[in-house]
Formats: sequence, C-alpha cells, structure tokens
Amino acid sequence: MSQANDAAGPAASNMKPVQVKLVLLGEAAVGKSSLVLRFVNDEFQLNKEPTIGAAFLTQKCRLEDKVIKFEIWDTAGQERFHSLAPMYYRNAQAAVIVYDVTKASSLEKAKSWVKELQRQANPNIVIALTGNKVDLVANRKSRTHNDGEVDEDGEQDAQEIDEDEEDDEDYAITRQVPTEEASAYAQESGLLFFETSAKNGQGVAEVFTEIAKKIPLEHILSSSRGARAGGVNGSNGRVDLQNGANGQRLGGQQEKGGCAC
Amino acid sequence: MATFATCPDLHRHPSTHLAGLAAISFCAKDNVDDELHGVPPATSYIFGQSQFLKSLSHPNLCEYLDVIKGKRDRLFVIQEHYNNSLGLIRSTQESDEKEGALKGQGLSQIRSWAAQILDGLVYLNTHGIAHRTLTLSNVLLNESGTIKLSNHGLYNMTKGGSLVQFSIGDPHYLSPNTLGQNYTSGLQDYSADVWSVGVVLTEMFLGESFWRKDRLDLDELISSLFAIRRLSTKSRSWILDCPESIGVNPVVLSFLQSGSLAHQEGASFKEEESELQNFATFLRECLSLGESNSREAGQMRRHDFFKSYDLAHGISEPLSEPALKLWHEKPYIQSSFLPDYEGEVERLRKVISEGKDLADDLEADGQVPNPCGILSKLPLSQVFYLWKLAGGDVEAQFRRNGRLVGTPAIQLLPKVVQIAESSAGGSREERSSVRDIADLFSDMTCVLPLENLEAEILKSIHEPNKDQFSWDTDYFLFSDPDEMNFLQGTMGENMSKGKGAGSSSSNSGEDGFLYPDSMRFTPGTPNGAASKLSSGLATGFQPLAQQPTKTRVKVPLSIREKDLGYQYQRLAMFTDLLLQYPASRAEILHHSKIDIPPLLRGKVWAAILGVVGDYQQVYSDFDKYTEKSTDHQIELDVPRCHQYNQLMFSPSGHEKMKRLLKCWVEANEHLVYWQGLDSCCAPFLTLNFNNEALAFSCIQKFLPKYLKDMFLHDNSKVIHEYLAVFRHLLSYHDPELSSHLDHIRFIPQLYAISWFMTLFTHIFPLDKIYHLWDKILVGPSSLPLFVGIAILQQFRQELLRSEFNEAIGIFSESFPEMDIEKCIETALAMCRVTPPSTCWLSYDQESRKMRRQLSSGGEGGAGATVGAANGETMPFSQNGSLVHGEAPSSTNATSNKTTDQQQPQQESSRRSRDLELEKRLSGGLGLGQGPHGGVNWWEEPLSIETMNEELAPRIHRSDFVRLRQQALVIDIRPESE
Repeated sequence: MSQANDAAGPAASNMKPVQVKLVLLGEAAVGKSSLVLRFVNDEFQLNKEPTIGAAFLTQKCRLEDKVIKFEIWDTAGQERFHSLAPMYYRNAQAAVIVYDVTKASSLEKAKSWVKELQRQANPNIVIALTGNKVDLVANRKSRTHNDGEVDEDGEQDAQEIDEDEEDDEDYAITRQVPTEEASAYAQESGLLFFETSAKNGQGVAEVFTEIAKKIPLEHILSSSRGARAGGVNGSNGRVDLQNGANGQRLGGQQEKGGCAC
Repeated sequence: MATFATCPDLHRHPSTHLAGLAAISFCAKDNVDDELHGVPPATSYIFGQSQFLKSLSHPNLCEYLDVIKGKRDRLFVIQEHYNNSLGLIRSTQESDEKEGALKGQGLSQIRSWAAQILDGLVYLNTHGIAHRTLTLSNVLLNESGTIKLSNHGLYNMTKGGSLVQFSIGDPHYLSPNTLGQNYTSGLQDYSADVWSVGVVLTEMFLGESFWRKDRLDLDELISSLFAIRRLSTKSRSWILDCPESIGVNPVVLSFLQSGSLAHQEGASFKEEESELQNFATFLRECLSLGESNSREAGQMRRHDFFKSYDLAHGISEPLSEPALKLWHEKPYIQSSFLPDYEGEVERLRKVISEGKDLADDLEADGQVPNPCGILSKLPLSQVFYLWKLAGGDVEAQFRRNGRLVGTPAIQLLPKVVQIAESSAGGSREERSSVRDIADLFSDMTCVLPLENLEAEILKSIHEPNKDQFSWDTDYFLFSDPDEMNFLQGTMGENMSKGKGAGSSSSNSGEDGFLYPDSMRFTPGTPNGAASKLSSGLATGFQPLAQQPTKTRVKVPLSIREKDLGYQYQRLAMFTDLLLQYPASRAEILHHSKIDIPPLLRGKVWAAILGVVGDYQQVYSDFDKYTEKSTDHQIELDVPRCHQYNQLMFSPSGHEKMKRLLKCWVEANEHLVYWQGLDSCCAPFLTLNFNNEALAFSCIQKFLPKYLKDMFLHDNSKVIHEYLAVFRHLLSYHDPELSSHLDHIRFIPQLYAISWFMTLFTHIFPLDKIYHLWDKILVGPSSLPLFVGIAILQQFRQELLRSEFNEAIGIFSESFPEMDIEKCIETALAMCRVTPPSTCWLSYDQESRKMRRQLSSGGEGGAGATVGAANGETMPFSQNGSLVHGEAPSSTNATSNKTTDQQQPQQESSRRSRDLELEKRLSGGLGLGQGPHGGVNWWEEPLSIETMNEELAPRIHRSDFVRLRQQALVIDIRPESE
C-alpha cells in the first residue's frame, strides 16, 4: 500500500502512465478536498477552506507493473454548485463519493450522487463510496478493517491511532452512519466501500489503489491511444464543454442538468 | 450629520498633552490538548474578545489601542496610560505623612473622583463589562486631574480569568462576594466593582489602608474576606457588627461606623458633619454585601453624596445617547466642528521650510517646548500606529525594560529523576515543577516611549525628494497622451455632470468612479471646504500640472505604507476628510486612487462605497437570530474562512461572521448564500471588526456593484456571461495566449469561477486582497475582469508552454505567489485602452447606464452620426473586425460584427426592478424598434452559446468610431450587400 502511493519507481519510469480521470463528489464539508490533499501531498489542514467551482490535482501511483496517473477533479460540495458537476464527471473513469460518518444526511446525499452517476456518467465508471472522518468517532469496531497491514509502518500507525482514540474519548462524537449500513448499501449498488480519515491518513491510499485495481486499465490504454491518434478527447483531464456543458445551468435545475453520454 | 463624526478613532484630543501609551503582557492558558479537539486556543479567544474593548470610549476610561499576539501564548495589551495614579498619590502621601503633613484628601476631591470613577464604571456596565481589577494603581489621572480607569478589560477578555493561569484582581480591593464565583458571560456581577470603589475611596480619604497593616498576609486576608461574607449573611450590616478579629483597619472601621473623625487632631478636615455622615453612608452602601443590599455603579452614582457635585457640574440627568442620533438625520451637512489643524500645519511647514532642527526652531520661536505638539491632538490609535511605523516594537520594549526575561532554557529541560530500585518504576521525568518565570503574570505596565516620535515624523517628512513622493504614484495618470484612452472620454462627461451643484455626493453611485482627470481635479483645486483644508495640510502636495508626467519615479506601495512621514500626512488628511464625509466624498475618492492609509481603510472603503445614514439602525433592524435553512451551510463555512487571520480565527470572529451572513441572507431576499460569499465578506469584517453594521453596509453597497446577481439562486447566465466576456477580453489583449488556452481547452469555467465569484478573495490572502480591492473599489466595475487577465499574464510563458494538466496545475490547490501591485498596474493599463462596449455585461448597472446614455443620444440618428463621422454611408451594423497585434482572432472575423447590445435581455426581467428599468429603456428606444415592432437583429443580446463560440469580442458602434483610426477594418460582407 505504501509503495502504491510513491511516485513511479525506476522500473516503471520508462512506462507511459495510464491516465485515469477521477471525480470527487459529496456533500459540503465531508472532507473531499482533505482526502485529496492527503492522497496527493500526504498533508492535512484543519479548517481547509471550501472549494468553489472545482479544483484539479494529479497524482501518480504504481500498481504492480503499471503506473497510473490520477487526474482528480475535486468538486464544490454546496448543493448550489451541483449543476457544475456534469462538467467534471463526464468521461470520468472513476468517482469517489464521500460522506461523513458523523452525519447521516451526508450518506443520503451520497446516494443521490450514486444515482446520478449511474444514470448520466460513463457507464463503466468505477464508484467508490467513502465514509470519511472516522477519527472523530471513538468506535473501535469500525477501525479494525485494515487488518491486512503487518509492516512496521502500519503497526506504528495503529498505535498512534489507538493513542488518539484514548484522547478522543472525552470528545467522542457519535457515529451516525454505521459501517454495516453503508457497506450493505455499497454492496447492493455495486460500489467499492471504504472508511477513511483524511486527518490521520487511515484508509486513504487504499481507496485509490482499489479503484486502480478495478479499472480496466488495458482498455483505457488502448482507447486513449486510439483517441489521441484521432485527436478526439480521450481519457485526459480535459473537460468537454462543447458537448452540452455550454448552456448548462449553474444553479437550479439540478435534476435536469447534465446530458446523457 | 457627518457619518463618521462620532467615531472615537477619528477624534482629535481636546487636550494639549499627549497621553502616554503603555502595555501589559501576560500569557494565556495553554490548552493544547483542547485545541486538538477543535476548541479554539485561549490566546485566540482573548484576541477576538479584546477587539471589542478598542471600541470603548469614555472620558474616564483609558482607551484600549491594540492587542498583539506574541510568541507562544503571550499577549501584549496596549492601552492609553498616565503616570499619575491614585496609587502614586497615596504613596507620596505616605512619605509626606512622616513629615507630619495632612493625611488623606479633602472630601470634595474625593467626591469628584468618586463621581468620575462611577461614571466610568456605569459606562462599562452598560457595555456588559465588569472591571474587577479596580485598585489604586488602576485609577489613573491625566494632567488635568481627570480620572482614567485602566485595565478595565482584563477580566472581560480573559473570561473572568479562566483563560489565564493567574487570578484577576487584587484581594485587598476584591469584594468578598467574588470569592469562589465563576465567570458566566452575560450574567456579570457588577456590584463587585462597587465594593472596590468603597475600599479605594476609603483609603484615599483617610490616608489609611483598608486592611490592618500588620495583617497583610494573603491567607489571613482571604479568611477575613470569608469572615465578612459569613457575617453579612447574618447581620444587616457587617460593618456595624464587625469584630476586631476581622482584619479591617480600626481607623477605617471606626469612621465607617460613626461617620466622624473623632481621632483626627486639628483642622485637617473642615468638612461639615452632615457631609461626612453622608459620605460614610455612601461608603457603607458601597461596602454592603448580600443580595438585597448590593448596589451597582449606576445606583451608587445617584446617591445623595453626589448632589453637590452634579449641581456644580451642571449634570441633571445621567448622560444618554439620544443626542448622538441627531447626527445621522441630516447626513449631507458638513461637520460643524473642524479641528483647528491649520495652525499646526503652519508650524510644521515652518519647521520644514527653514530646514532647522526641531529643537532649535522651538527655541528660536520662543515657544514653550512641547515635546509632542503635532501628536497631542491625534487620535491615540494613530499615535500608536505611527509609533509602530517609526520602528516601535512592544515586545522589544518589554525586553529593554528588563521584563520577560525567561528562565534559561537549560533549566526548563525535563529533569530525569532516578527512583530507588525498590519502587516500581525506573526513572521518570519530572516536568511540571519547572516553569518559565517569564510566563508568570506581572501587572507592571511598560510605558512606550513617545518622546522622539514627533522628531522622527518631522525628519521623515523633511527627507529630500519627499515632495515628489506623495504624488509620484498616481496610477490613474495616462502615461502617453497619444495613446488611445477610452476612460478619458467617458470621464469628461462624467466630470462635467459631477460638477453640477451637490450632485457629486448625493448621487452616491457611480460618478467619480471613472478616473477623473488629475489635471482638472487636483487636490489643490478647492472643491468646497474640504479641499481647502486638505490642500493646506498636505505639505508635499503640489498641483500635478507642474510636474512633468514622465519624470516621475514610482515608489512602491509597500514603501509608502511604511514611510512614517508619508503615512502621517495621509492619516491627517484622510481623518479630516472622513470627519466631513459624505460632503467630502468626491475628495476621498480622488485621494484613494493614489493609496489608502491602512489604518483607516475600513472607513475609507465605506466612504468610497457611499455608505451613508444610520447604518447602525439598518443593521439592527434585520433579524439575525431566527434559524434559517442556510444556517447549516454558514455554520460549515465560517470556521473555514480565512482562518490564518487572527481575527477570523477567533471565536468572536466566527460569531460576527455568522451574524453578518445571516443578516445578509435576511436583507437580500432575491439572493441566496453561495459558498464564497463568506470570503467576500471577510475583508469588510476584518477591517471593521468592531463595527459589524458598517461592514454590513459596505457589503450591501459592494456586492451590487461588483458581483451583481452573482448570488442569484440561478446564477448560471450571469456567471457564464461574465466568463465569456473574460475570454473575449483576453483575446483582445493577448490573442496568442488566448488562442493557446483555447487550444488546450483551458477554459475559464474550469479555473476562474472562484476568481470572479469571490472577487479573488478565495485565491488571495487578506493582506493582498486589501491592496487589490483598494484599487478595484475606485475603478470601474469591469476592472476585476482585467485583473483576471493580468493574473494569467503573470504566468504567460508558463501557460504558453503548458498542456492542460500543467496549466490547471498552476492555479489549482495553492495559488501561486503574485505581484499584486504589478497585477493592478497591468489591469489598469489594459482597462484604459479597452473599448468599454467589450466589457458590457447584461446584468451590470454600469454597462446598462452606458448603453442607456448611448442610446438616448438618439437611436434613429445614431447610424447617421456614425456614417457622417466616417464619411461613409454604411449603416452602423457594418461588419468589421479589430486587429490587435498579430491577432489570430482575425480568423474569427466572419463572426465579428459591431453589433448593438443596447437592449438588456428581455427574459431577464425576473424582478420588478428589472422590469422598471426595461420599461424606461424601451421608452427611450422608441425609434430603435425594428420594422416588425420588435428589436432590430443587431440589438438583440448575444446568447452565451454565441459568445462561447466566438473568440474575440464584438464592439459597439460608439467605440468603433473612436477605434477606427487605429484599427484595420476588413469588410467581409458579401458583394451582394
């Protein structure tokens, strides 16, 4: 997991990275930007300012013998910006839909995003449902899922988390979305499911590695090669404005917004 | 009357003596553990809370000037200061006593002090503040003997001491009721201060300490206080039943009980018996405890004891504020009290012109040397600001005075203690026992030296080349007279209109925003009383006409802002102008185009925006407390808004921001809260932190001008039009860059929404925003578009090399470092040479106004006018294209038509206001109606789709006339036409 987050190593450096366009969606202040910041720079900012419009970041990671370059569109969470979203999720190969485990309403919003993507986005899109801010809930049960880690780093992380937890107890915020509920929903809708903490980094890299594993990389590689030769938009981060985003509403008309691709 | 006439921070002091400045310093509680869980740090709470203290202004209170956060949890609180205090009087008395002099003070003196102390306390109480640290040394006296209470905010700003490691108040003066009392904000016990007043007055009157001198041990004192409290629950008056064993000084006790000074020998007190009795009753009431007996300062002030004082001072009723209300009723009258400043300036001038040292000059003139002549009348906040500019550093001052000397670091290292093997552990750290002595509280004040400040200011003004200094950075001068300048033409019209009597200030919106010609409108030109005053003030100012434009050297803003002499002059001028606002609005606008003194920025902005009337009332009339659906989003955003800023980070900053946003939502029913609005409001809040109402009024003026309709529920049309115009303007000014960006599909929708929706507040930190907005506020409403282009141009080379990913990478996440001043300059230069019609937005008022003006020139005749001017007979809907530079945009020439956009979109008539405007417009357009009764095809607004398809802007015929001489026109109409 740790090496997946590294920039491409020497062995992979001469390989052309596979470009994967990924979009982050979810209610305001669930931690979308923080999640990306953790993934891209391994940083965390308390009180990170809200995203307006959208932000774009890239990060390479290595999966087995391939190098994947994630082109990440981090979108604004406020409902009013909803109608901008199709501009960003169009042609995306992956989406991370984020909710806040301490806020039940954010899961509802996440579900509506899932519906919208399944209806309007690229039909092969890989969607990951991610419950963020697990560091806030002192519920130990929810933390045991990353048991696969035995390396030193992992152990140390686990210890630190445990210490944090003890400090947290006075301040524990009740979890509003049980892991089981979200996980069951994800399974029935065919989504990947994770719980993460952008604050302490728990589970973040996993989200992206699992997405990378599930994406049909070979397919993208061949199609993007073809697309490049043909000069049509391929899988790069460009946003296609010509095909419909032009006249799109920024506000209102949330349901009608977007076009079928 | 004048909007800012009652603002204490603009007021000159009537006294001729300069008040001193002093600082106290203490450390806030270290609550690192809590901070990890989102509890704001104590320093931040204190910092935010103490801002309010700066707004307090009363003749009997020392002014709070600033709170500075030092390293770690240290805070420096800067206050007005006087060397004389009751404590000092007492101690000189004590030394005199040994020589057999009189003890204590006369009753009339005591009465006057008592009245003033209580007046100060009443004012504090009405503002929700309990003093709680009233001691002899906190009651200061100025040079004319007026009482000035000090340190009155310490209790309030530290949440009753709960945010610091020390307890607040001296137990000798502390009411027994305060023992074990917890601080609950809003429910403060003001009666505790009255006890302190009683003790203070007793001591001053009798010249004896309240408590027995041999019993000053703290433990005993505290137990005495407890004993008094117990006693007061049992008896009606603890004073009458007080046993010897309670440590009250017997002399004091006997006076309090009897009201007579039996033991006093001789004629030291000639007061009438009844007066003495009266005073003793007053003191007994001050010192009474228990719920039924305790008094607040207001009640005590109405005591019979003060009858003679009030009579002598002509006070019949306690002072109230309705008189102040009158100030707002007629806002357009010049302020009635102009400070006598000109005399001061004359003196200053003399000093400068004679080129003498200040001291020599004063001696030569035979004047009494007054060390702080030019400073004594300045508002203290400005004195402190200038002191800092002159290199003053509060923390360094403390160190120079030998304070804050810490325990050497080596002694703070954790001690490792070996524990005997028999006990369970091995070695352990002992950390808690060592504390840095610098962290301990000291109530010593550190006086800030002001002696040399005046000399420094004069020296700075007197430095060579300063004559040019003040004028040499007029951004709004046009460097090349041959250069095409679209602002000049429109400005001419505007100025002539503005010169109509009275219209310059009553027409609060636009006029004067369009670059007045400095040649015609210099500060030397009298424009009512205001300009006469300022021309007298500004020693370095000369009419611009005398200075050749091209030889001017630009002094960067950052240097001007740090220049002591320059800032002194600017502050003096703006203070005067602000006091006379709104009469002086035109002048403020003019001078603001050069620069704005940072200290007065909040009010200057308000003046530029044209805030008038009783804004306090307007703000308080809106409901800011009922829950609304947007609350949730506001709650989420406020704690994330510009948190690097101390004010925005503080809990009181969060509260204020929430109130402000809620008020905005309430006041603008047709608009909605979009994320980003919080960022837009932040500059106004931080500049007017103690004046939410003013901040709100600024926002209400600002948003309609620069972000009109950007916060509509459905703003897509507004924002897409804005971005389309932005893209066109970029093509106009930098075709190469524009076509490259278009080629890599780096479109404004992907990066510039947050730029324009928040007018750059989302991408720049506040210190940069202040400078950026300084210019945007005095510029045309299209200026932000050019700022956007200027930003792109600063990264031109990089962008031209970039593919999409790299290009967007430049502006994503953390915004790159930018030279704001250069950016503004570029933007203004572009704005100057841009045909105004290319920046027209269908929702923008200024554009509408211009279109209206153009169309009212006679729609039917317009074509003919154009034709005549050109010597051609072509109708004005001719095809043409502007070629600018090596413009690849000429490839788009086919779609470039000089098309009319006079008619605002018909479908945009969402609101009644729009409808009304349109009615008026179409009324004026009667002649312009097409043959089918509809609108001519060239008058129809462009759809956003069309705008997005075209790379370059279309130009209105009115601009075309002027552009023609410098543009290559290609007629691409088919032969048949």
